[in-house]
Amino acid sequence: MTTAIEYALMAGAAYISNRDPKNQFPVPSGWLEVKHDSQPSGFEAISFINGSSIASSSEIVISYAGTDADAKFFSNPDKQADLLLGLGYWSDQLGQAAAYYLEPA
Amino acid sequence: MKNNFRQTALFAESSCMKANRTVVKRIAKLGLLLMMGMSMNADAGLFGSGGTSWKEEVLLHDGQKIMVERTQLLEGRHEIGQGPPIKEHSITFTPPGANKAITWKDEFSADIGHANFTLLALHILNGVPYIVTTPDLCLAYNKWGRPNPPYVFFKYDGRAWQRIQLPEFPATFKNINLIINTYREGEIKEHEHKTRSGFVSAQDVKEINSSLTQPEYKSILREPIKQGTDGSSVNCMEEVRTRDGWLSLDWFSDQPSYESCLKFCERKGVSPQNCPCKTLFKGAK
Repeated sequence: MTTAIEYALMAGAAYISNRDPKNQFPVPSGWLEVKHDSQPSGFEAISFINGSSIASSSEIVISYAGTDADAKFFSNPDKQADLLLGLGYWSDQLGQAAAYYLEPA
Repeated sequence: MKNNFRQTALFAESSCMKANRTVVKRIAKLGLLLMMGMSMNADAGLFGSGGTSWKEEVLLHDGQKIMVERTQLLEGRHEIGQGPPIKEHSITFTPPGANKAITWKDEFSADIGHANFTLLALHILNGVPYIVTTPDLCLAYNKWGRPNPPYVFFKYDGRAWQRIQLPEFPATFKNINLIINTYREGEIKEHEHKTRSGFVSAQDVKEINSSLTQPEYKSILREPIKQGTDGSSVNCMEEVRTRDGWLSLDWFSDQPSYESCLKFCERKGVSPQNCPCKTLFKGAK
């Protein structure tokens, strides 16, 4: 059974594009990281499987990176996504998150 | 009369409520304008200053020291609690015996969301300057072809900077001699103020860099770094550039056949030169 610590490590390991390799989270033992996706919209996600391939895994964990900070609203797609989603509108990141969920398996 | 009074009173109350609503609306508008103004001011205060610059003493391979000027602008997406990435940076210097300053500059690259490189070393041999950099973060490491050892070398040919490969880089250059930044502007300024002439001494450059443990930052390596070495860029996942973003290699290798891999490349807008299917499905076609 997947432990809370393993989930926490997998949650942190979604941050790749903006994080120095030295500070990236380790993958929990027995898990394999697959299907990293990084988009200019600010969307970033990665999956973890507990087998040697998706087909032979009993569990797939999808980890979505949270939106990033930046003082400039107009040049930061993450802040724009925060605002749109907060107001209940559509955002590219939402569509990409849904598409990502459907793709790996 | 009583009724009239009541009606009037109600009317007065209604007018008062309308007036209140108008006042509330005005306050809200004013608040919004103030927030926008404050936001713009915060932006100008944080990033409108044009970045930071400092002078740094560089110890060359033959023991000579030269003075360089470095500039950098930090800006862009970053995690909460962390500083912004380097948007652009430069180094300007005059080689010994020359009278013309040379500048190397690294600008914002939209495909990775920040500048391409971290500066590591500057060396000069027979008047020819060489610069050693490492790609800044994993997307840049993939963009620059996943070099191992993880360096991108440049040589100044008298007119422009040209990328060169490791065998062309003189073996006599071994030292990392520039401040490997670079999210430590406070530390840099502190050392700069230590010397009365306002530059970071070569000794202090060494001291600032001493806290970094990655092998590629200790000296200029000529042998590949082992996968799994703590903190090294060589551990970065292999990524493929798509129409807009980046996908890890297994998106392509997991395709059931060469043909479906090619279709996937097409669907994701991967250019023919970046599409990895031919390598992944070697012998399939």
